[in-house]
Amino acid sequence: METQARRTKDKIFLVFVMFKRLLLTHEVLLLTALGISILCFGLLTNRFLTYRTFSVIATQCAEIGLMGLGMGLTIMVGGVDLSVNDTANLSALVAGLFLTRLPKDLLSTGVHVLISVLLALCTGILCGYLNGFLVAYLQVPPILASLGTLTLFRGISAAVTGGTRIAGFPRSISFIGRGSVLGVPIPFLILIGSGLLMHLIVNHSALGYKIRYVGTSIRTARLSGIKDKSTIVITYIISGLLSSIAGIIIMGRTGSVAYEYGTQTYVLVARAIVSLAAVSSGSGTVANLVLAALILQVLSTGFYGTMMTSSRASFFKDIFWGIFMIAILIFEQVIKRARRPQPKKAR
Amino acid sequence: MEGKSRQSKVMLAIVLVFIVALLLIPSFGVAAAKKRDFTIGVVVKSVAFNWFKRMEEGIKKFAEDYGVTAFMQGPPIADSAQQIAIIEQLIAQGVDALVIVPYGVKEHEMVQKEAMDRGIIVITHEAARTKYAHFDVEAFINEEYGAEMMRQLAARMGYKGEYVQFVGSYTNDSHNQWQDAARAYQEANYPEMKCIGKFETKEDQAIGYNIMKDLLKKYPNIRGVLGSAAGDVVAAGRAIEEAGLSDKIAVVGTSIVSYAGELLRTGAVDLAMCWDPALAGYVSCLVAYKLLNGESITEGMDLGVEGYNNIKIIKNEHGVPVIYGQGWILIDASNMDKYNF
Amino acid sequence: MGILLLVICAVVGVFSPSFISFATLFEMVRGSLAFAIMGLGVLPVLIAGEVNLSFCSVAAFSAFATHHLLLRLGYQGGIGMYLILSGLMGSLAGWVMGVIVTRFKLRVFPVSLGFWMFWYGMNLFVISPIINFTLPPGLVGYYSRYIVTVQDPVIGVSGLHEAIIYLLAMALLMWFFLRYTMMGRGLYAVGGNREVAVRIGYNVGKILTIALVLSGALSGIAGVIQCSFYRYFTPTLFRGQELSVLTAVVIGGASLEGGRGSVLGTILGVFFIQVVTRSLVYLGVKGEYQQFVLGLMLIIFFVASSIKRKPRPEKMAKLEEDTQGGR
Repeated sequence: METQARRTKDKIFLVFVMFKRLLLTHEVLLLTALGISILCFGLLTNRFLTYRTFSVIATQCAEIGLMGLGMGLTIMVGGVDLSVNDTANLSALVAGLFLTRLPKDLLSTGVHVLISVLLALCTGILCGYLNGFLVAYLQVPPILASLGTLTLFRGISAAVTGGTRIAGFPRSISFIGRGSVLGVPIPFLILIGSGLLMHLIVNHSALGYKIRYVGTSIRTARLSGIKDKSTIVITYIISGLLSSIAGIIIMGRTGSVAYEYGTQTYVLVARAIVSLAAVSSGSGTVANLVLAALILQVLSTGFYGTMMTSSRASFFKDIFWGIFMIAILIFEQVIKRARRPQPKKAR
Repeated sequence: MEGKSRQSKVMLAIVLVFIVALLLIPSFGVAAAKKRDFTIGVVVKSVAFNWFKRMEEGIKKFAEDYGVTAFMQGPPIADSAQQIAIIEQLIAQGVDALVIVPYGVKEHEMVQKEAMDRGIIVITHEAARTKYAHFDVEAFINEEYGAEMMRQLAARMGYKGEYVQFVGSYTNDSHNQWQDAARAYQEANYPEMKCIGKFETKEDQAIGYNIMKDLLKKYPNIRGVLGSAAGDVVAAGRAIEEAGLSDKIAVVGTSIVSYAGELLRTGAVDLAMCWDPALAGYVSCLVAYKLLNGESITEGMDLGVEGYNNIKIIKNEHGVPVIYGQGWILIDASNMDKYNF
Repeated sequence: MGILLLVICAVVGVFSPSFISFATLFEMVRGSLAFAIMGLGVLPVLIAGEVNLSFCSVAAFSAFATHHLLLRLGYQGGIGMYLILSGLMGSLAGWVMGVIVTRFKLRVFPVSLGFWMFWYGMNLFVISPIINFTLPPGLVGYYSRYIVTVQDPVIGVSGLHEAIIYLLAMALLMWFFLRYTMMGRGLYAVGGNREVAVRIGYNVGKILTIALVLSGALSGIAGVIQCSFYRYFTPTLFRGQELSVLTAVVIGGASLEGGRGSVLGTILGVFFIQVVTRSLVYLGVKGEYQQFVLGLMLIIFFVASSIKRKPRPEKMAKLEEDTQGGR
């Protein structure tokens, strides 16, 4: 009788522990935060829960999401890529120059656009390679390496364009930035597609394993025979590639290329996404990165929606983002402690 | 055990703060709830500029005069990415008309087109070369203003000597049109003057100040400065005053009293030229309102606002009609108290 | 470092003779004063092995809040009260961050990112979104209070600004703190190897908090000094310049991994960045190309300095350094 009761008790406890484990993962935490914010904004204004709003959110979170993904991966491998935004602008610039400078009738529009997109991606790969090379082979600290390349890429764009905008692209480019399939904006599809691909790479491939291993401890990784340098370079190349995709989306969305587009915003937002997703060297998931991008976008859109008529909305948004980010960090830490039964420590 | 309860308390506190913060918002958004006839959203380069604070006064006055919902919105720091994001969000919120003062004219064209495709009235300001808008509103014809700036500067330089030009950014259409027109006017009329170059202050006084300091050293014969952004003449004037050259160098340019006031009084800045952003904001909203009511805007019309009593309409190269007033004002030490912005 | 600086100055001087003068020197000094003070604040945190990005926004908030508070109180005096109050506010901001970081065992970097947005947001939303040009009488003319003045044939009177005294005083204090106090030594230990530092018996949380408080206080002071040079108080002071200050400190020999860094190096690093960016104008580099040249120079410099640094097996070397008590 007694053992029976004990067994049920144990069972309940086990279920409870498992439930707690599941419930307290970062994904669930982020999903809850997302749900709460959507709910709150939905209650606050009747204009929030509309298709248009969500289509805007989906479109806008693609750019920051892609850059966040790129930065997230480089942080997983133990570095950081601050040049994401300027890689995006430079890639878009190369594509834009190709589209506008080449005589229109030389190639059919489809081929023309395709080549320009490929060129942009190549630029992204080159930019990423430069970063990776500096970090892995020349041993430059990642923050500094990417800070240098950030300035360099922006400088190249500024020098080439003389600071002016390039515009006048074929319609198919703007379709990438503003079109939609079955009501889902193309940029969002691109984000989800890249996210899935990255998820496969990070969680289900040898490369992903290497990335996390190198991020955890480059020394042990090297000792256990992992080619740490090439792993780092490949990670930065992926980051550059993702940024260049973001660049193409920006190009399509704005119909122009500007060397200073987003320079005041995107790097910080991308970094915010990474810390919201709790990605750190050696750990983190792609799903969290995408979720984090969505949350920040919902918060931003929500604030402008609910505080539409107040010109101070953007200031309040800053304050709230700040508190929100710190709160999530604390929250995560508290949960982490609750998750594993910790021995009493003398403080 | 004690530690654990403390942790859960902290968690609870955070959740509470989060919810309270979210619930705080409606107190700022009340006006949105009172749905009135039309909603006109004005999206400016950055809401943290004195210039646009003044514009907001005009927008608020308009909202009162005409009983519509009109408001100003914009990013905390001048940045196209954020400004476009805000415009897209306002489109999703279903505003009836948008007045846009774009940071970069070209990258805003697509979003303006999208707004127009959705039946929203789009009025731009300070973007005379834009491709997509129902109307662009300018206080004056930029070339005329640029020539006027040059006449004022030349008179103060004695029609000879070297001068420099400042623009907020190389991509700002209006700034570059003024400066290019000023230079063309100088080359045609004042052969003894010489332009050193056109420099970009990135709408940042600190940058302009440093450039001016370095220019003074590199080109000791500078006798004139022509500024475009409101902070340009302040930055240049400050550098010049600190060098003790206030009397030797003439500083003329677009600015407002709250920016250039002190330097106008000391003489480091000789003349501030501008248009009243409040009136410009008012007129832009008015044009949007008239279009929403199905009225048309015609050449020579009197919009009932000072400086816009006899408007000119000229189509730009993309076929967008641009409304021009005669709305420039000249501010020097003698009349600066009249313009309290 | 110092030699490199001289070489660059010489090169620029050859191309543009007007560069070599006391006036230029003093001008550069004044341009880098506030940044050097802020850099001194960044230093202890970097030594402790953490990266704080919020110092610029703390500077902006403390200076702006102090200004509005004193204006409302009808304050008439000079910069002294401003420095004290703003320094206090800055250290309070640093303390808040320190408490959060140590209480919840978080890394400084992500938390400081949150505070970066928070303080700028507070400035713009709570205080005022517009630049304030009203100065108390005691502050008018402060921008040209020189210790030594020179008559430059080209740009007129110029001089060595008195705020350099603050910089020197704070540099000395910081130097003393890092070198001869238990806390200062603790910073190097914590940054060198945290585990070891804990074992030795350092209170890591306390040390980190002190570093952050110091950083905040110096930022607050730097903010006031910069605003008094500008002659206006702006809510978005220093916005977007975090990374260049950080770069300057790292160029000056501090390591982002912690455990290394010196006061002299920091000041030289800030001055170096100032000289490099501003000499581009003297060299006649066109505006559009300046960023490009700057980026190229930065990369070359970083690569050169990382090649010069001996490649060392990471953890072990650090451990040895720490146990030997060397830097």
